[in-house]
Amino acid sequence: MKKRVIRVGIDGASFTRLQTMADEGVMPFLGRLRQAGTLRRLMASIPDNSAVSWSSIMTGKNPGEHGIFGFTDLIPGTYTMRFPNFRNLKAAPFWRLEPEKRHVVINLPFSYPADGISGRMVSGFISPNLENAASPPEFLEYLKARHYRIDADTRKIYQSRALFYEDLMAVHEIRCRVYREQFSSGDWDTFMIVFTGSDRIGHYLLDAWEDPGDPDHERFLEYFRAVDRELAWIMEHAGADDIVVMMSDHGMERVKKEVNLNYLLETGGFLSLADTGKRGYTAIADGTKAFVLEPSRVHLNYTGRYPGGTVTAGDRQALLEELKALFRGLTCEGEPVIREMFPREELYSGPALEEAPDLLLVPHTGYSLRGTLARDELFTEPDTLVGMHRGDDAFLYVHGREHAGAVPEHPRVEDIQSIVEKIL
Amino acid sequence: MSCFNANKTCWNCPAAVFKGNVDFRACGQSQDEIKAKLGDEGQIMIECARRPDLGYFEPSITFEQCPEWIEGEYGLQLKNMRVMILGMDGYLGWALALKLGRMGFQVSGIDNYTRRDTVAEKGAHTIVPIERMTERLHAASEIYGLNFNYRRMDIRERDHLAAFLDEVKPEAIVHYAEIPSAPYSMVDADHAIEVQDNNTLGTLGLLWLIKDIVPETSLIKLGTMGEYGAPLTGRPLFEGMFPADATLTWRGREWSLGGEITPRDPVSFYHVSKVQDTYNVYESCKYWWLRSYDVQQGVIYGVHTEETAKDPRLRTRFDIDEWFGTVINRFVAQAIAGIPLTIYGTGEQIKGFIALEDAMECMVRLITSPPEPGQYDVVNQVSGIHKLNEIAEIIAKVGKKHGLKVEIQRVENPRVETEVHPLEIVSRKLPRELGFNPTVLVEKEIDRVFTLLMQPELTSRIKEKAHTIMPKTRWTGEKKDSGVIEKYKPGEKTYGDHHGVLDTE
Ligand SMILES: NC(=O)c1ccc[n+]([C@@H]2O[C@H](COP(=O)([O-])OP(=O)(O)OC[C@H]3O[C@@H](n4cnc5c(N)ncnc54)[C@H](O)[C@@H]3O)[C@@H](O)[C@H]2O)c1
Repeated sequence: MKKRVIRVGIDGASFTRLQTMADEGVMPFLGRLRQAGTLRRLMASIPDNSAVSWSSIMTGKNPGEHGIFGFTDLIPGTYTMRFPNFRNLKAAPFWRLEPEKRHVVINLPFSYPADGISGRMVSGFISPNLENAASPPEFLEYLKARHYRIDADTRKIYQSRALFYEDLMAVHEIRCRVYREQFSSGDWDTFMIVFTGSDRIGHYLLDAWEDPGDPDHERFLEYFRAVDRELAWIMEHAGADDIVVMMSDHGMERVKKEVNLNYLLETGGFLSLADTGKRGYTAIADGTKAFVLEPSRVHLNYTGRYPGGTVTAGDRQALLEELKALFRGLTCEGEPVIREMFPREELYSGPALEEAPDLLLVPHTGYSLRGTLARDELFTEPDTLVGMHRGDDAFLYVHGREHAGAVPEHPRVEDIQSIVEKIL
Repeated sequence: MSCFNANKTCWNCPAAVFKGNVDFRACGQSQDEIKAKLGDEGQIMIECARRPDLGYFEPSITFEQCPEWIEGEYGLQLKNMRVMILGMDGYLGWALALKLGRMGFQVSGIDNYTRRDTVAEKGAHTIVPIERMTERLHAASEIYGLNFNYRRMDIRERDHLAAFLDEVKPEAIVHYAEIPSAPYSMVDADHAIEVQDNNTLGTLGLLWLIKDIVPETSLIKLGTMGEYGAPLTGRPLFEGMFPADATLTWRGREWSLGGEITPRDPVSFYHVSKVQDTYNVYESCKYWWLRSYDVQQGVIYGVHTEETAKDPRLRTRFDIDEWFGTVINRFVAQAIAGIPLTIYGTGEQIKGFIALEDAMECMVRLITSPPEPGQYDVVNQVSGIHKLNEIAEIIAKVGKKHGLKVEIQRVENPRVETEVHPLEIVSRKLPRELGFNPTVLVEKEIDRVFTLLMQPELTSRIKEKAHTIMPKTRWTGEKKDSGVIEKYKPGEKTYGDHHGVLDTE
């Protein structure tokens, strides 16, 4: 029998929390499943952003090769923020590597607009509309007939958590119905489904998880119980020879403080903004040496690359040292904020290296690094978003104890594709 | 020096297609119809219909930075911008089509010839002869090399208009296609209903089509200064909405009126149709994020634009009858026909005016400076204000230079209107934000009208229809001649010493 591959994603699911939920019976199936394979902590991309991590997962490449460094970048020659999408991905995703096979891909983040695929796909967030998120056209019609939705309406959270949760579950249920039907059709060689409500619920309800007295605590658990039931369904319906790999793109932890890095650069004399009323990148004014793109990507303001650029290649090394000193010295109530700093060469390699941020920052626990320009304070208390991404606490599960040898001790997101290939 | 629209951004540009609203802190997305920013963190995404290679981005490229916006006569203009003129066969529509075409816009348009038909129904005709549309199009192509995409169509034939909008995908729509006559709307119930059906329902249907087919287009909708009426308190006629610092006090309490629509006090069923349009357009901007300029236009006069003067076949229409003639145009014709200029009532009524050529420049500026999605904006398009009796004096003076002896007569006012009133018109946006400076002096344009109409064939066309000049349509619905109150020679009379104010600062 031919070996099929099943990939299951749980966006934003943290290794530590999954273990706890497995231990405490919230996810009983996962509790049993981990005995039957290898469950490891997985390193997300840096930055620990879904666009970057999922791009690495689907291509098996690092950002220097696939060219995606975040949800946003700037249009070359301008300070206008752009939202790169799947078309900007410079490396081939797994379904293009094996065009002779039939692939079903459901709700994979950062795969919009949907690729012409041998098989069927519907992209996950960020997909502005369903029309361009589904391929082929018959599959779009199929999804429409089932009232398929890409994502819950996050606006609802600003009205009430209950309303938001209800919408989240409604979206989850439709998605499950669709993927189960697709899975059962058997018309595929590789199958991928990503559950994304987990990320939303982490961002908005993580405080409720930590506090059993919170009225939304049960809701948080209920979502993961629902995911556990799907894992059980998938394993029950998978063939004995199928290769099953499960993963998340990053972990999730509580926000202690939001850290507005551009404000630090501004007060440190590295960034200056014109007083145009709009505090966006287009307000970047003369004399600016560096700025930060969400969440923690430090870019030098190069001449030739940006309209108001002042930095030359010759200035780079000295400027990076100055910036590192600035970030190293950043403390909040006596605690250091930045845990690690990486010049891009230390993290990335490949043809897209030139487009990469010059310096990447990794925070200590609970400091949510922000690249917004809208704030005029260094630290902000968390508001509706109580959960933040954590890079070193994603998870990877590879089913079948016999495949343990294919899993590195400290796997990273870009390793997943080669793990699958190794097993095959 | 950068020009008036240099700092507008993609958010104003009709080529920017809204794609969604991302709160990327939570890697989330919200429903895509929300075009307002979601707080600090919300980020609007667009795609440029003209530069799809840029992918999705925030709408912050300025017109000055964008290669699709190029230098034109009055500022930056979108390369080959697609403009659809509804009512292209009309007095203003035809002049605008030629001007836009010559400036490099891609012009399309429709008309159902209701203007030609209603003028014929009333037994009148345009004094400046105009060609049939096929001949007009031919001449435009021959003389200027223009290729208008024109269809004969009623704006209320929604299926046809939908198909045409879908084919052209206009980036701006200039909506002139209404029956523009106050007296015509007061003839009887049939006429009143026809005007309101044509104007109000026509516009309402158009708004639904825009929502479905070209939601990013910039709608430039023609209203009239007559929507406001002339409040006896002398309260300024603001540009559609009260300014931020306007307040209302009552019994010792005070409220801000900033941003509220100002009261409207229309002066005929035609003007009522325009007020209804105003609300329909305003609401659709609110419900559907459409964008529109509502142009409260003063009374237009004159014949001249560079293009219409280029060839007799390119001339635009010019009416002088009691229903479709506007006051200055009528007075000049009367002066030539030897009819004393017909002032209604006291002649102390104050009106806002603008010459044809200036009005066309304003339209180009509005087209090239679109509002933001969801923005309903109003401009008062007026370049000067005059009392009717003063206008009569000016025309008599210019007529004299052309060797005419002109008399003035006051006749019973067929309309119901205030005859002595203060008037202060605010018209700041065109001069201050859109870079418009009137270039046509009243005397100069009136002189041009005399010169054209005194060509013998045109003078005889006036005389042929002299019987349509005296007003017979009363606001009571009766058909009755207006009796002559007095006749006098220019310069003989002293007029009331109140004057209007045009506030452009
Ligand atoms: N001329 C002025 O002094 C003046 C002043 C203020 C406002 N306006 C407004 O400006 C606009 C244009 O005025 P104008 O003087 O050029 O008038 P016009 O009558 O010459 O032009 C309007 C054109 O629209 C066409 N039209 C009317 N209803 C239509 C329909 N249902 N479908 C298709 N075509 C239709 C007519 O046939 C005509 O050609 C009108 O909306 C008018 O109310 C004019």
